[in-house]
Amino acid sequence: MTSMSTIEPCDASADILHDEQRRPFRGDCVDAMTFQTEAMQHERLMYHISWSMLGNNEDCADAVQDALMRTWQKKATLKSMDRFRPWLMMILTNTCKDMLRKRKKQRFVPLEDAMAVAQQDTQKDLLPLMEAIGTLKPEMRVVITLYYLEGNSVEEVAEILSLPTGTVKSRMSHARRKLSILLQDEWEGEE
Amino acid sequence: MNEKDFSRKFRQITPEVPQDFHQAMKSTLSNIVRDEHNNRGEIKVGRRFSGRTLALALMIMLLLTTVAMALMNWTVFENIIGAVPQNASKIMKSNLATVTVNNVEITIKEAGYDGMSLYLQYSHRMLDMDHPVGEVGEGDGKRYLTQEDMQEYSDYKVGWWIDNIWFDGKPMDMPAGSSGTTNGTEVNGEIIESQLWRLSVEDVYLDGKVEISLPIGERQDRRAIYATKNEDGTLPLPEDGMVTFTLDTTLAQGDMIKTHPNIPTEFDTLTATVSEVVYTPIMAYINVDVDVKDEALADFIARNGDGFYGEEGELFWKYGPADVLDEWGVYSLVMVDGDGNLVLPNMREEYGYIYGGSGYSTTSLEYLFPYLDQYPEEMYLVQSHEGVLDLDHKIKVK
Repeated sequence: MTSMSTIEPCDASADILHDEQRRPFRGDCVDAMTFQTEAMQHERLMYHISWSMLGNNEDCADAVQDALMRTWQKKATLKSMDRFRPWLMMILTNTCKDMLRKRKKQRFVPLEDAMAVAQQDTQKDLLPLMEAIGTLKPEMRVVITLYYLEGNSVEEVAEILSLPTGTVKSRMSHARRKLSILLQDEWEGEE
Repeated sequence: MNEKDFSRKFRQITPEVPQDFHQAMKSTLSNIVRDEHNNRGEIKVGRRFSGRTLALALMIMLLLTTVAMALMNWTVFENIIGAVPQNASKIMKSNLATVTVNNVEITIKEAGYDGMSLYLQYSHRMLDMDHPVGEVGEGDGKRYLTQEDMQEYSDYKVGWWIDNIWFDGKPMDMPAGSSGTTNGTEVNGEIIESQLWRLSVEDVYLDGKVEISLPIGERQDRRAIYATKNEDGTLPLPEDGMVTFTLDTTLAQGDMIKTHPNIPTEFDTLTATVSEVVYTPIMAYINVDVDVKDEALADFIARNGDGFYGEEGELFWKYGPADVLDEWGVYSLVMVDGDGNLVLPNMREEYGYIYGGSGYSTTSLEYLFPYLDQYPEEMYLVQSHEGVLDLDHKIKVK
């Protein structure tokens, strides 16, 4: 239960953001301009998360619109803006999951856009890798995307996806094993 | 394969952020900002048109706002701006095309161009439907589409199906700052889309009779269309699934006036100059160039540190001119006359919620003001903070 006495008024959210004590500011104190600036910092991350889960650009754009709106509407539930990034990503991954649930007939999501890019621009020797990644389940793809593409640590991936680190590790391990089999290429240095 | 190899190859096969994703983010965030600025509880989303009806339905339920139940002239303005500008009839045309596809009557109901923006409204009417579409919202009497409505609509296999519009065969994605609403009406089976296309944002200007093609007919296989991309990456005009109409975009002589005041005003932190004012029959578009001073940025960094850091010390972003501009107040400008009196004291209540600050970059701000028969002899933009005007720093508009 929220104690009303602990909540300070939101006067001048810009000052809350930039004040000298750098104290965390609450989500409900954030104005739209700050929200816009904050969210745009994570454009690339948001794209890669949604792309890894949904596999096509059209759905990614739909997901990000939906996620941003949900985030803005629920901003009062964010206790500290220092948690903005994992919070936004959590909402985005949930949005993507919702969209995936609606695709009842599809078990796996093909990486349509990646295929298109590969066929046009990429060396042919990368096609098997792309196809192999395309066979991974979305929850594995998002983990390896955050780890290998975005360069996050296991702990950061866990934080972004709101998962225990053990789950992240096991998904990564599973993904590596599957990729090794599909690519007939032993994975070096796996823990 | 080792970790490094995999990372490198993975990067090679991963697409960069595509334009439509960037546009979707930008337009959603811009609309959030604009909506907050307009102090309204409802949010209009600059739509990125897609054929994904389920996602669209969800988006509509969450985001899309108003619908004018009682139809009146030029309802596109009612839906997009919140009021009908006095000169709407000067530029608007009605009932420009009607076709029937899959037992759905598609009508281009309203369209007009003011020299900067395209205003457009079309309807899809499911002819065998014996009830109105949407649920009447509590309190406002407007018809909101439900997911079931959108599914039903989707079953007719018509509607906006690809992310482009074509002018004389040339494609264009929806520019930033554009917006759209979807709603039902009291007419059985009818869904109306109202859209504002901010063409000038993309430096697209229409002239004379223009053939406008909208992908609102029978849904087509998008992948097949994408496979036919031009060399420059744009989409050729599809042969099927389109509704085309001709709009005379010619404005009467003197209906659009451009001025370039170009008189800089010095603030402590930046220099602001109105570089262009475009007076159209619908509204005035004002562009303000801003140049953040180096010493202001240095002072900002001295007060706040070099960037914004998360709790674990990770750098979110380095502070730059945008942060100085944010602190200054990008949407703080109001219009005053030569005596320092507000030109439009109740602007949004009287003229519509679209007016005021409409977008910004690190080097410019855009403001929209309603059309007035007689603008004051002298006009300035000044900052207003909690109703207190800073008349010591007036930016010359006229």
